[in-house]
Amino acid sequence: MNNFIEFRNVSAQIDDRTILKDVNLTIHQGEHVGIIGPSGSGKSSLIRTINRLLPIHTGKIIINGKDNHTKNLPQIGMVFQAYALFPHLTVLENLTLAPLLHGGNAKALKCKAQALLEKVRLAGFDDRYPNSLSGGQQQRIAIARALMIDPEILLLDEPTSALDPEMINEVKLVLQDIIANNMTVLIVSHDIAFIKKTTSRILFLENGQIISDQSQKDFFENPAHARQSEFISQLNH
Amino acid sequence: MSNIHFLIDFLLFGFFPEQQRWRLMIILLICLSHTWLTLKFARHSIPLKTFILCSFCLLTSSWYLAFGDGWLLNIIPTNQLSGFILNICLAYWSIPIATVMSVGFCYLMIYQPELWPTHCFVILAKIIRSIPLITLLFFITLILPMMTNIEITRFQAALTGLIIFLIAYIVEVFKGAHQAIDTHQHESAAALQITGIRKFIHIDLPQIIKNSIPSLINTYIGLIKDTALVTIIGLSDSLGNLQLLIAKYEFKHDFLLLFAIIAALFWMLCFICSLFGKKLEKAIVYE
Ligand SMILES: Nc1ncnc2c1ncn2[C@@H]1O[C@H](COP(=O)(O)OP(=O)(O)OP(=O)(O)O)[C@@H](O)[C@H]1O
Ligand SMILES: [Mg+2]
Repeated sequence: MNNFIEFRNVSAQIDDRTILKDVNLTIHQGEHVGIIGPSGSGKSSLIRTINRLLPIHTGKIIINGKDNHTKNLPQIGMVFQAYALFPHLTVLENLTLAPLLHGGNAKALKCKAQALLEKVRLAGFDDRYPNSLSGGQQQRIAIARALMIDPEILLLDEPTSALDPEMINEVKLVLQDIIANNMTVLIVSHDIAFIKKTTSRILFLENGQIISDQSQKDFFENPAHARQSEFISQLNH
Repeated sequence: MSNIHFLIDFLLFGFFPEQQRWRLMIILLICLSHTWLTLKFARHSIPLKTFILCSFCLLTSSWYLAFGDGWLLNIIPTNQLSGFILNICLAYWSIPIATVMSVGFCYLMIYQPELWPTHCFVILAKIIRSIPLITLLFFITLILPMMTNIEITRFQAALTGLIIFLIAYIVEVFKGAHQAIDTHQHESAAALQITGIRKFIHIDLPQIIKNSIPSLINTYIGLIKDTALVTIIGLSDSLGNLQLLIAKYEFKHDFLLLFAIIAALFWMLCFICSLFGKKLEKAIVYE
């Protein structure tokens, strides 16, 4: 298996505050990685460095053999905790805007968008505006939007944290469907059950460092770090 | 009292040649239809390109009607465009031009803050916002020609002054409206690789416009009333014409009525403007 995403001594700062400290990490193609850790530990920051939403100060991030600042990288889709749909565009326009601007064919994109809407169980919602939808529906639209660019890498930053319990399920089901194929996926979540269902490898972060990196089985059965078991037991209460 | 009609006529159209008045009527029609067109556009009834093209045609043809070219229409010197129609024309020409130019400056301020034209603009806008409009008008009519040898008619000076003044305010309104856009949207745009001018046009601008309508209409109404200030640099707008009448005639009682008429005319114009704002707000709803 090749090293698809590679962090080499990556550090990031915001206003002199270190957010990520000397992170080294290798992720293979098709791997599904869960990221957990206390609030403020740098989970979001870690995945945001991959698509350059957060600039890094030292080190390098290599994606498919190329620095992530170069062109022609594999497509990277991202889903945010806050949905972040564009409120002035209809659902269909939200889905097709980015690929259209990158030179896609309008008709083909419309078909594709409709197929994806069906996949996230929102067929027929084309002409609705985001503000008229429930949180769960908006998040499923956001997922479809991330998939419009055929991402090889999917970054999910707490995709269910802003949702009511009933909506969490509908989003989780859709995500489980989508994640089944050979995309490389990084999931930040506090939902241990969801992480267990969707990932094979788990990173535990604290203070901007990866303090443990284990397969899912080991992570829960032979925790490498005392903090890790403490955190898991806290989450379960 | 018999010549009250003459007086009102003078307040409305001033020195514009009698036989050419039909041109002013068409200009009024153009103003109204441009307003109507903007509402149509806001309701998605006409596409952007058509709207831009129509706006351009309406603006240039109103200009052409006002001044002519000596070939199809008689040339009318700029100082003959006077009376209340001058107030209307100044407002009608400065508002769209200033708004469009503000969009450009707004882009520079948000996406190219490091460029030197942006720095110059920001400093200039700050200065203009902190001086009275009259000062700016005097500067353009009197001081600028002395300093630079540019020949400029009073009408051109007034229009330029109003546009510059309006831009300085609208850009600030736009800036505020841009800050109101949810930060998550900037991130999701970046994640979708929508950046730079494309992001500005497709994501920022529609929301900036929507968020800024109330303040924008406020600014427009302010400008409509400020067009009365051009009297001070020697243009005869409706108030200027009234002053001429006061100087010329003695019968004092009618002037109160004439003042009231001017007030009513301005009120009507501002009322149409705020009605337009209300309709626009209703037209742009994303639900
Ligand atoms: N824009 C910012 N400006 C300043 N500090 C920031 C900014 N974004 C994040 N941080 C800081 O970076 C650190 C890591 O933040 P990050 O959002 O990655 O944490 P997280 O693990 O995702 O937390 P949560 O579970 O609450 O989402 C925190 O200490 C946070 O205060
Ligand atoms: Mg986070």
